[in-house]
Amino acid sequence: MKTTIITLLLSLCMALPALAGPRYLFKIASIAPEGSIWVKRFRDFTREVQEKSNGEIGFKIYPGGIMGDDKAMLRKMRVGQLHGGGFTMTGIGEIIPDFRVMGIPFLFRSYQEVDQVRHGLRPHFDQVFSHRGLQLLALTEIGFIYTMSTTPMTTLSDLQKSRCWTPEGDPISSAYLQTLGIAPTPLGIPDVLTSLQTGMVETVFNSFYGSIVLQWFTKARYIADIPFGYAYGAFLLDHRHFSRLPAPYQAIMKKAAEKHFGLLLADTRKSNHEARQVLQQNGVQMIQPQPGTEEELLNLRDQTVRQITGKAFSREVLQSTMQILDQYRK
Amino acid sequence: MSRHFRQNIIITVLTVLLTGCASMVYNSVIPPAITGLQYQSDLDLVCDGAPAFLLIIDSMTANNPDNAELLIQATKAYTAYSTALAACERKERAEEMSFRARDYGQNLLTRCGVNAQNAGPEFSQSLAQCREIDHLFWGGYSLASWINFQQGSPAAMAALVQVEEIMKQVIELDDGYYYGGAHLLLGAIYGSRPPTFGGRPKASHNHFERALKLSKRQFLPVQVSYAETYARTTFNRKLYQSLLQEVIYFPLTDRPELTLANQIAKKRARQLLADIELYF
Repeated sequence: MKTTIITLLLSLCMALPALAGPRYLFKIASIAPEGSIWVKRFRDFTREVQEKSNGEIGFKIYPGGIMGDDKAMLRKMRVGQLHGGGFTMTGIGEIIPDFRVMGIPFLFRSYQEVDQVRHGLRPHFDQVFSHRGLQLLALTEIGFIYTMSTTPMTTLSDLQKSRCWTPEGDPISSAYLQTLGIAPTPLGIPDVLTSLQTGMVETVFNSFYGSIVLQWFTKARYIADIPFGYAYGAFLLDHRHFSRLPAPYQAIMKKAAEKHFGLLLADTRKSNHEARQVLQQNGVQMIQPQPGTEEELLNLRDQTVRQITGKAFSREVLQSTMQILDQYRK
Repeated sequence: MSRHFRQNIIITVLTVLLTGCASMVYNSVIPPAITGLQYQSDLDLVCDGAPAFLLIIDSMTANNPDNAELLIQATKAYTAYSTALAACERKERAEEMSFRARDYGQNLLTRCGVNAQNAGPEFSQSLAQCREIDHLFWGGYSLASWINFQQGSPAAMAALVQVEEIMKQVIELDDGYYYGGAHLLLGAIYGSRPPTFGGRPKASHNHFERALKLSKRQFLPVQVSYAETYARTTFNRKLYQSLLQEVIYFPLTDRPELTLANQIAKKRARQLLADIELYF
């Protein structure tokens, strides 16, 4: 009888880990759709973490905007319904304004410059996110953003005559367009294609790849061949939830994130590079601005930055950014 | 009669004979074989056995480049084979075959006057001129099957615009063509992405419901795609589950001529149901 009880207890104990599931479960959301490279890399990341933690860390993924936009995801993280997500620069900028700084128009001239600043600002971003109860695991990228229009534009005057779109909740772009003498039309992403079709907007801003995925390239057939800005995002976790992990597990997560989101960055850059060629193959024309236009745009950009510093982001983060860039450009 | 002239006559006669022979082979072998393939329920047999048949089609289309009917059959055969290979877990080979299917399909579209190399206004204008529903549907369908293996590459995403426009044109000509296949594809295109990425859940729902009606719920790829795209994107677990269960319980004998497509759909449905906790 005693043996039977012991055997029963033993088998129950042995069955428990299988029944219990992961000890630390992370529910993660993203607006990126299933099948996208973001979700693929994220699943690779989760597999590695699960494996290296012997199944003690588990994930549940909600892709495709099922959990709503940036704001909704953050709200759900606050109440514990979610533990993390992939966010965009504009969504996070509302709660952590300093995160917007890399979105200043015409800030970067190359990916090398982008990487210097991403690397240099990382300790500052880690700190500001942590103060808001968030753990920054990786910086993600949408890429360089270009001006795309339904008619060719080569001067500032062409741009001023055009009906311009601006994304909702992006104070930097809105302020800059206003300085340029443009009253932009703010619209959510889902409404842009129909607005391009009806002529309600004639000029939009997107990465090469983004303009294909959203089909904007079927209407906006001309692209000014200077990057207007740089768009990016972040993979964030709830800091409290992350802190519950033992230190070795935290290290596993950070290391796996560095690896797989590093690969994602390379994928994104490759997609944008290929997308430029695909756009041209599909009849989209790259337009060179007239001499002097770039200087004019840069002067007005500086004027905008003076106006919004201290409001859209802190003076300190701007100084750090410019120092890193100046040093790199020397 | 000069030697040169005689040679020409011989070549002409031979060509006519061979073409006649090819058309005899074509009429007696190709369409019944394609139809026969659809009755097959053994997926492994299709994956292992179809290549010999595809080689015959390849050589016949190469020798008869003007035979549109042959081109349609080649497009259908390669598209079906690529889908079957994916179900047989031979993804790399499936992708390679999807390239062949796409190339045959583009040839079909070009024959109908469609400028398939470009997704811009030139494409839309040329598309309006094509009224051949076989060319349009199978050309677009093969393109969609290639896109499926491209993991969101820029070229594939640009081609998706073409598939969407082609299927709209098919619907205009005959929306019931091939069990409402154009509605199935449009439902999948609009339902596979959230609105922030260009998705249109409401349109997706309408297209899938129409495809279900047109197929009398007997062409199971409709239910599987409905679950995999729309139900997942809208986080509708109940719909996801009920559609996939419907597929699993459907008796293959009810539509023997759709056995292959329905068998592949059943296999996929079982996988998707097993993964339900991953998505909801």
